[in-house]
Amino acid sequence: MSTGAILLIAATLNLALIIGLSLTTALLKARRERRARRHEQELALLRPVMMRYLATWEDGDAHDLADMLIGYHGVTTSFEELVAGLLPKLRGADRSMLVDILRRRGTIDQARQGTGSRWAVRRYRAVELLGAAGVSEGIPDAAALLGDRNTDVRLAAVRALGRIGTVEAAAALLEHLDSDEGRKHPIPPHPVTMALLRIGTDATDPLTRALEAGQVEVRTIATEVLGVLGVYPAVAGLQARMRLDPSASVRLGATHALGRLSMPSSAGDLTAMLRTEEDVEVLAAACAALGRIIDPSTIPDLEHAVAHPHPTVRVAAAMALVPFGATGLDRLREIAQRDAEGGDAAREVLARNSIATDTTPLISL
Amino acid sequence: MSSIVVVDDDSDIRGLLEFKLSAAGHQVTAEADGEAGLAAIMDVRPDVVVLDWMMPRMSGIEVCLELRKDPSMADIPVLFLTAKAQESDVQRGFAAGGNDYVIKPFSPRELSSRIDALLARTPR
Repeated sequence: MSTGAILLIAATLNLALIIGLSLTTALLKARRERRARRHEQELALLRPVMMRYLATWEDGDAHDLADMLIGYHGVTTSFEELVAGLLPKLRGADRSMLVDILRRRGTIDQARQGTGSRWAVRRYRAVELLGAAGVSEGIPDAAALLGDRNTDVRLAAVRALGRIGTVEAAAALLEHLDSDEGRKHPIPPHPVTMALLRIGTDATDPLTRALEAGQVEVRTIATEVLGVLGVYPAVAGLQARMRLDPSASVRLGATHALGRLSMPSSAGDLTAMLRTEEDVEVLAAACAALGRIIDPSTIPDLEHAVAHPHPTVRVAAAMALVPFGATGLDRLREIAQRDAEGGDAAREVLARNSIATDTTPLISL
Repeated sequence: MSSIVVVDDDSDIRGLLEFKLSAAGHQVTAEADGEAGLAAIMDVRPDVVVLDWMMPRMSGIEVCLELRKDPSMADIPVLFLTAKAQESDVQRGFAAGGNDYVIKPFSPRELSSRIDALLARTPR
């Protein structure tokens, strides 16, 4: 065969290949567009029915609509899409009623099964739906995904447990983080903290237990969240963490929490910390906590801290004296007269609070 | 029958409120942004306005302030329906002239009752 003939055959084959590929692409595009149009049409039909049912579900006449929504099985997942969009916007009985419809349609069971899918995208969708619906039967399934090999799925599981709430969800989160599995597939602390805060005081018992966790991150999260949630019975545990924990981040979290809780019984431990602690951030947090507790017996310790070698501690201690009122301001003015030993911090804090640095009374009678 | 203007950029919430408030016997006009909402309020002069806060083109707060500037609109009760849930947000909503404040996620039933209460204490 001549070279020309070979070239002609190659060119023809190339052309045929290009035409074939173009046709396939066009067919796929057309099919995708047809499917999207059908999905939009379905949504357009379904949305008013759903809205009408939400507006009238208390009436006896709405039963037919409910039956229709429960029995509706479109070719796509329009119904679930619609409900998943509505759930985060509603609360109360209307929300419970939507979840009930999902349950009766079998969607919740399907989602629970979906958490075991081999496809990450399906596991993700399934756990998101369980979280949006806030169903407690989904807790074990969501908890199982905390150790998922896919990071997005793990984060979705954390969010879902936060939305579902209850003591079991909080316990699952904290226990997983402290386990070997949790070490293998780590989860960043911020989403866990947000989920625990969302769960709220239901998380109190697991959080108090987590003060003794093996992982530093877990103990740190527990201290911070207990403080933000204002769990007063945790004060003794937090004081112990502040005094004894080998990790500075845990001691810092506990000190922040004790400051938020502002219990006078913490003053002794906090002043003791000022004498023994070496971490600058923890020392500054201890000063801030004493400034919230406002126990006059702690003023000498704060005065001493104003002369600390590190400027962060000096300023924090000086700021902590301001809430003590006239007594604290008098001490700050005295310190401000000095050239060294915290004079700079005292002057800075007085200036920041627009307070005169001399000892002339602010109001003369 | 009372007339109500709902201004919210979320189509689900607009649709839901249209159905819910119509089922309660009210005449509802729904708009998707602040500017269109203000125009609808001027046009309809409703008995109650339900306003979202964060909307395109004009925020709910701006719409409310505009209403309070106009003596003929100043008395129309405004209910804020918004995801802004901080104490300072609620304060700002009332300071702008809002008469009631409902935080999202919300209960449509409770919202309907709040609207009825607003209508009951507004002289017409």
